Amino acid sequence: MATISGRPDRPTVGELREGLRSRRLKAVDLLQSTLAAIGQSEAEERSLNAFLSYGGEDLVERAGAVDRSLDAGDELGPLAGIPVAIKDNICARGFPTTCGSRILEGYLSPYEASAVRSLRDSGALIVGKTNLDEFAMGSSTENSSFGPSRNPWDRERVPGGSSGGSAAAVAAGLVPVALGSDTGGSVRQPASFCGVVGLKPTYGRVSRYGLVAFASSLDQIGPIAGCVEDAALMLSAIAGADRYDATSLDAPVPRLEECLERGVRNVVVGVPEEYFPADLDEGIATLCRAALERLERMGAKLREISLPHTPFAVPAYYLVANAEASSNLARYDGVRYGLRAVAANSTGAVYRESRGTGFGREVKRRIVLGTYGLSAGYYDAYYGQGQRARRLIGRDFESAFASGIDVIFTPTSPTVAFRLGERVDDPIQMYLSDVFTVTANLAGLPAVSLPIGTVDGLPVGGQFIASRLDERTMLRVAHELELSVTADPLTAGER
Amino acid sequence: MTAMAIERSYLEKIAELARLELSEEEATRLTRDCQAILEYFEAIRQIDSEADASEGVERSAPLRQDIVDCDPLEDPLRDLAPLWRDGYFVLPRLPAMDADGFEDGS
Amino acid sequence: MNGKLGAAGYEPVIGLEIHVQLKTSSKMFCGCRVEFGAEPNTHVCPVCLGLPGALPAVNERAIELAILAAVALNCRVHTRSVFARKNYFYPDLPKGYQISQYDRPLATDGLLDVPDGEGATANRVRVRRLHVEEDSGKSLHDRFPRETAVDLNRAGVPLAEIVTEPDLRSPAEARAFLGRLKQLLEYLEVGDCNMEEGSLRVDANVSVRRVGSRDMQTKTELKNMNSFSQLEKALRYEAERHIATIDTGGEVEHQTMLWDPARNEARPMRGKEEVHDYRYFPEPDLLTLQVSEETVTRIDAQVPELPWEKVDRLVSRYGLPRYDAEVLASSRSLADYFESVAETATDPKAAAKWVMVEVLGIANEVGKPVTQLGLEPPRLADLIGIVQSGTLSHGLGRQVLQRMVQSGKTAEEVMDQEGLRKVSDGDQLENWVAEVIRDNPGEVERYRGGEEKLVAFFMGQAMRKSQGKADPDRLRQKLLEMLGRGR
Ligand SMILES: [Mg+2]
Ligand SMILES: [Zn+2]
Repeated sequence: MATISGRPDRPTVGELREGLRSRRLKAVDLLQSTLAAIGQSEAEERSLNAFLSYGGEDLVERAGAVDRSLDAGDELGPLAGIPVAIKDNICARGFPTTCGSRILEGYLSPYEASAVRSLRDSGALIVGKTNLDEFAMGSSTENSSFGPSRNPWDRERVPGGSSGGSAAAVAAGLVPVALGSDTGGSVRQPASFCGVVGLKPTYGRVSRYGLVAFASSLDQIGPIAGCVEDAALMLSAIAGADRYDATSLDAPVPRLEECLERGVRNVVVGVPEEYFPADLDEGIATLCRAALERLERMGAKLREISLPHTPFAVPAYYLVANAEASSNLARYDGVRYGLRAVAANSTGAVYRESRGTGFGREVKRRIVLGTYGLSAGYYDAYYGQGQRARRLIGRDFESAFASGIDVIFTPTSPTVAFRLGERVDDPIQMYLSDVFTVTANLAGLPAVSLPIGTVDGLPVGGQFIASRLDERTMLRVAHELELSVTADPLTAGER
Repeated sequence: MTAMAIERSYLEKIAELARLELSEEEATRLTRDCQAILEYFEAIRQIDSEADASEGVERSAPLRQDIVDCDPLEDPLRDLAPLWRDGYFVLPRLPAMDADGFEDGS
Repeated sequence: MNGKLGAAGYEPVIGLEIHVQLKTSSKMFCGCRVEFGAEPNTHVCPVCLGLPGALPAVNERAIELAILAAVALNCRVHTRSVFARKNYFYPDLPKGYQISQYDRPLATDGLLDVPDGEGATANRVRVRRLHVEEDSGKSLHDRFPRETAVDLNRAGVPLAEIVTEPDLRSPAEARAFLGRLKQLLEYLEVGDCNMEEGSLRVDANVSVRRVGSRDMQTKTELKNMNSFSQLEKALRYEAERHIATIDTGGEVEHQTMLWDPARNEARPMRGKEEVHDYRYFPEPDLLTLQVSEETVTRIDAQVPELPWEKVDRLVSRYGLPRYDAEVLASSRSLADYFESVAETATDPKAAAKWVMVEVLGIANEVGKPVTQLGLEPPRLADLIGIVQSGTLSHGLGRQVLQRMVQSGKTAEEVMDQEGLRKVSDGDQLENWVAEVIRDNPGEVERYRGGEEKLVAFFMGQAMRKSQGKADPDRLRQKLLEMLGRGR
């Protein structure tokens, strides 16, 4: 079982699947215990607040159908009967899709995201929608209009964000796997904060159709899971070209077995100096070094590299993401769906008041910054420069991979989970949470965060970044490191 | 190189462009936040704006066949709309419409 | 024609911006049906409603049609072009932006000649650019009191936007240019180009300058012209307004003017104090649009004979007067129809007259295009041959044609059934002439007294007796013979 110290024991998808196949476990029972656990968790004092909605009428019926098929010996999809949670910015039938925003409170999507359709086709049972920073804008889940989620490791701390609800739900064992979305680290950073695995696929690997857009050129749906194997399983269920997403890639979907092949002998691991600055948290640096030593002992080759444009990554990320967001969020105008300000008595008032009351502070901040960055006279200095920096960052990676590097290893986040409220008033500090994760989005590369130990009893994530479409190598190396860490947990410093 | 700065009045113009109603307090605070953030973004200016902006190998937009085949709506639109009447989305009229009936855009 | 403009020593400088709806089955970025006049909000889906999470996918046919128009306009079609978002708020713009093209349009640098009416080129107008974009929906301001009703059936319908350089020098020339462009687009079957239905829309920009001057003057934009004549009127109105302003020492203000067809005047668009800043940027949901050289070559080969080329050929090949050729070439299907008739008819000029006058007349009467009258070209050719041979008079031929269209029968069948055949039988003719002589003793007397021009009167009477069936030559012979006997 994939656990690290201090974390609740929880079954993997593989184990659940085995239980269901052998009929020791009934899908209906699994579903009901899952819903009961979610219900109990939500009712707790200082609850995780991981879910914005869960349950639903036809779920038991669907689980019953899985049981009947399994009883009959039918061959079912790889996720048959597995409870899955979905970040609430991904449209799923049977639940509201709020994006953590007042402007979409109660919004029921009349269509379903392609990734959710794929999960259903694989037999998964969608049990609920998870909390997030409003429109995925944030790194702590504190920007949710429906209250922050909490970190199961320490309820006074944030679970990270924006997919904080999904990460907390998996970490607490409420669901074995969940979907998140990652625009600048929103799957990986909360996975790191909550001690679980978060995978951001290559841009285009998974259809974005039905993922409510934050920054279209950076957004990517990715799984959060208890172990690398489950993340890989989820990826193979949701990956593939989609006629509804012109940016989706028609590339062979990695097979799970390939991702989990043993051995890292002669794999060249690049260690970029820019991701290990002198002032990096000592505990995190220690754990990263330990992880790298283990990889080396297992036969991988370490090589120091430089990705020189890294210092421009956070500004480039925010310039590009905010610009796209300002346009993507223009559709919330109170005309066709969502919140409409009641008192508005003109078209202009419908817009201004619906948007003024419907959007939260961080969303407004980003819309303003993005609008500014695209406005006449500023485009070149902001959006234009952001795109230039982005291309240079992409080229840094290309050169590294062209020089024989197979995967790059970095810390996922410069810190462990911070305290609730600690950064809400300091946007720049909040933005810097993403310093190690935004580059993979800017370059469109696959990346995965996995637990590499704890500092002061809080989980720390290590990140692998691979070349475009090479999730296979990345997951193979991550899987190997995970086995090593699971067998012999790492801890650092009690401060 | 002049520092990037955003004045309160300009912020209000931008907010109007984005159709965001801001309270007095919000506007003050946003101006301050944006000042700080833009200052932090300043680093991006160091990048040579002449740096080759061309992409390497670009992917081409896939084209779909001209076939009537859309992703169907599974709920009626009237369930979605804040105000729905006789098959139309309805909203309070643009004030200028009473006089002119102009159309914008396209 | 533009007396006031000319007399004042000014010339207008006019550019046009034309939107043409591309003739596709489905919308630009989704699979919704394109249909004019459907129940409101029935041809909509997550994509064209701008629902959260929906994404665009490009319609290949729309791109092909735009390329076809571009090559016919002698444009350079770019192998790489970029979709861009044009951001603005309007109730019928579901996403808060229009997907269009901006700094990298599909095609640039084209040309279209404006004719002078005699077949010669009056002016060569440069086409600055042609790009593809999506249409907005419709805002109805008169559906409910104090409310705007929004119908999104049109949202996402594919358009080509064609922008000319300011090369037009009079309102009439602008109108002629638009007419030629419309004819071209119809020929290419790129669009229906119906101004009433909005499948062809035109905006204009106009400034005036002293004749011979090269100075750039402040221009104004003109919108809301819903017909060719409104375009011409609006341009004349606006150019004259500019001149009057300048002549009285004023300055023309750069603004957008709305044409009011009811009052025949243009007024500044109000309620638009806010400066437009569309914040264009590349559409991240779509990759660059790449068009291979082979595709352009393939589409270039599909460009049919253009209307003005067709006129020249009809003139030279069939010896038609230019006017006739222009009427026949006014639409591709009419010209094709004429040519199929001319192929089997012995006399192409006669065929041209029959098609232009008789067939087109019936088509206008029943409100159907010529090709949908059920009148097969060889059958029309047969009828023309029968008339030419003298078996039917022209008038009878026209009657037979009417019956052919009504019944779907051949000329011979109609003639047999109705007994419509020229009668040249001597006994029959003699009976009719005898009756006329008997009924009109006074006229007969006068004729015999030397009033020979009364022959026409007797011919008319006899023809009426025969119900138009008598062979006129034989009838005249018989008439002269029988009248002569009594002298
Ligand atoms: Mg346009
Ligand atoms: Zn549609």
